[in-house]
Amino acid sequence: MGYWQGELIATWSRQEEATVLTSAYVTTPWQLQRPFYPEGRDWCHTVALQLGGGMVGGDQLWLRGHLQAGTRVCWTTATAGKVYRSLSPEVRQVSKSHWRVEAQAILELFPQETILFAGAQFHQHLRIELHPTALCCGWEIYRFGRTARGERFLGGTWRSYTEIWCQDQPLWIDRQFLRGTPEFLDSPNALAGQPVVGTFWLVGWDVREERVGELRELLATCAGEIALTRLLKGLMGRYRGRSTAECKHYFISLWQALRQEYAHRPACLPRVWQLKEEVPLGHG
Amino acid sequence: MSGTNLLAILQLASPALPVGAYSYSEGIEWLVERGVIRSATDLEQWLRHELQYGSVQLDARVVRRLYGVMEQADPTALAYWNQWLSAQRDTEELRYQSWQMGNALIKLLKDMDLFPSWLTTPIQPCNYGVAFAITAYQWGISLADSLKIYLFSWTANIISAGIRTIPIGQTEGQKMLFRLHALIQEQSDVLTREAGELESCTIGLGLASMYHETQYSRLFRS
Repeated sequence: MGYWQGELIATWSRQEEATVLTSAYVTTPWQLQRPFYPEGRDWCHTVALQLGGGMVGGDQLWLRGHLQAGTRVCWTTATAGKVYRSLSPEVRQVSKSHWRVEAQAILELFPQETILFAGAQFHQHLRIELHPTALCCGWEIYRFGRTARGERFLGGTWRSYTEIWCQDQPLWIDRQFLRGTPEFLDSPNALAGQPVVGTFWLVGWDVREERVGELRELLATCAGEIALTRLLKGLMGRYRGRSTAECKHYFISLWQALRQEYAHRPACLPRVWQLKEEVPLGHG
Repeated sequence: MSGTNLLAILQLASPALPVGAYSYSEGIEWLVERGVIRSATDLEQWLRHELQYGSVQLDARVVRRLYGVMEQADPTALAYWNQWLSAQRDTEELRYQSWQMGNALIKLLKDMDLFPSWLTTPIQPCNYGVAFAITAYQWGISLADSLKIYLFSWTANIISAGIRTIPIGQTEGQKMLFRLHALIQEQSDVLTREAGELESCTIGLGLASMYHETQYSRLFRS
């Protein structure tokens, strides 16, 4: 059987003021675009692609990223990820990412949303090892079922484990799962009938309580549910609603506000995102 | 493990245990204000989901691991799981709750001269799950009974929050708690039998608790 076992191993190094992708090992279906520098040589924008459209049951994607000291990387994906129905609940689609972020380095991890088809058995593990002087900011956005065609995420499983560690101590652990049953899809404990869930996080940077209050004001107009809380060393936000565009819109405004603090510069939106100009409020 | 002292069980399960559980609603206050939980039925459904898949289920799994750590008298592992729980709390409010209740229970245990002598490095702040496992073990309560107490006390406390906020009657609350005995029994059996994955579905709890952190008018603490 032809399952993908894609591997992507990348290292960024600092050369003078620049962040350079110094090594990359890539196997199908991963592909890496040539890095570009829309905001200067120090901040390397890197775009990954997955050939073949999406993941079928049995596919595995591995990613290992290493940010050497002083590097700055903004990582995204070219398109939304798709995870198709698996032929059996035992045959999973697995995505494992491991990042090492060294002294003074900054990792921005903004993949586009992942669309989980009904019957997908998706397991994703993200682990980041953070130096005490490094920081990382990222998000994850999921659509459960192809709702545009009336599909619900029935028969599937979703696991998303995110762990951020610093010197063998956990800074943030989030190990979410749900099953594609009416119980999970409709109960207020889980999806509450909404198809989109997103998580935004900044770790390695202390956010004052008053600042959280200001950031909350940026979210006040959101039609879906969106809220913030502080982590041991950072901040986390969760979205539950109808629209990936709405989720991205509010996550981007958080990123814009926070980037002014941790990098003293405005957010530079990756060109591949092709965001719609208007945000559909509550419908998407 | 039939030798567990019933009186120790009653004492650890008592709402009079001075840890302040009564001051926390774990999102219920917000859910009631928003009209998500309007009735006893809504509350019971919420509880059934949480007991099977929610944060309390994950915490009970950590308590199970910690009970093993107590048997080994391993201070390093105890500190590891304490840090793990701090990093895993869904919100700042829930983290402070865990720390406040955990510290209160540790203080009680020390005041009772029942704190383990091998545990010389301070665990501060101490999460409630860690303090609970230490206490249950020190009081000679079996693992199976400890897990039952953990789930039962949590359930009784959230029902009490529901009684005060929805509101529902005391009798209604007692009936609900009685109906949930079977699920608590079943869950604690599963948790005793197998270590299981440390995972939970807390999207709803997390949002409710985050919103509660800024809720304008509150009975319950953050």
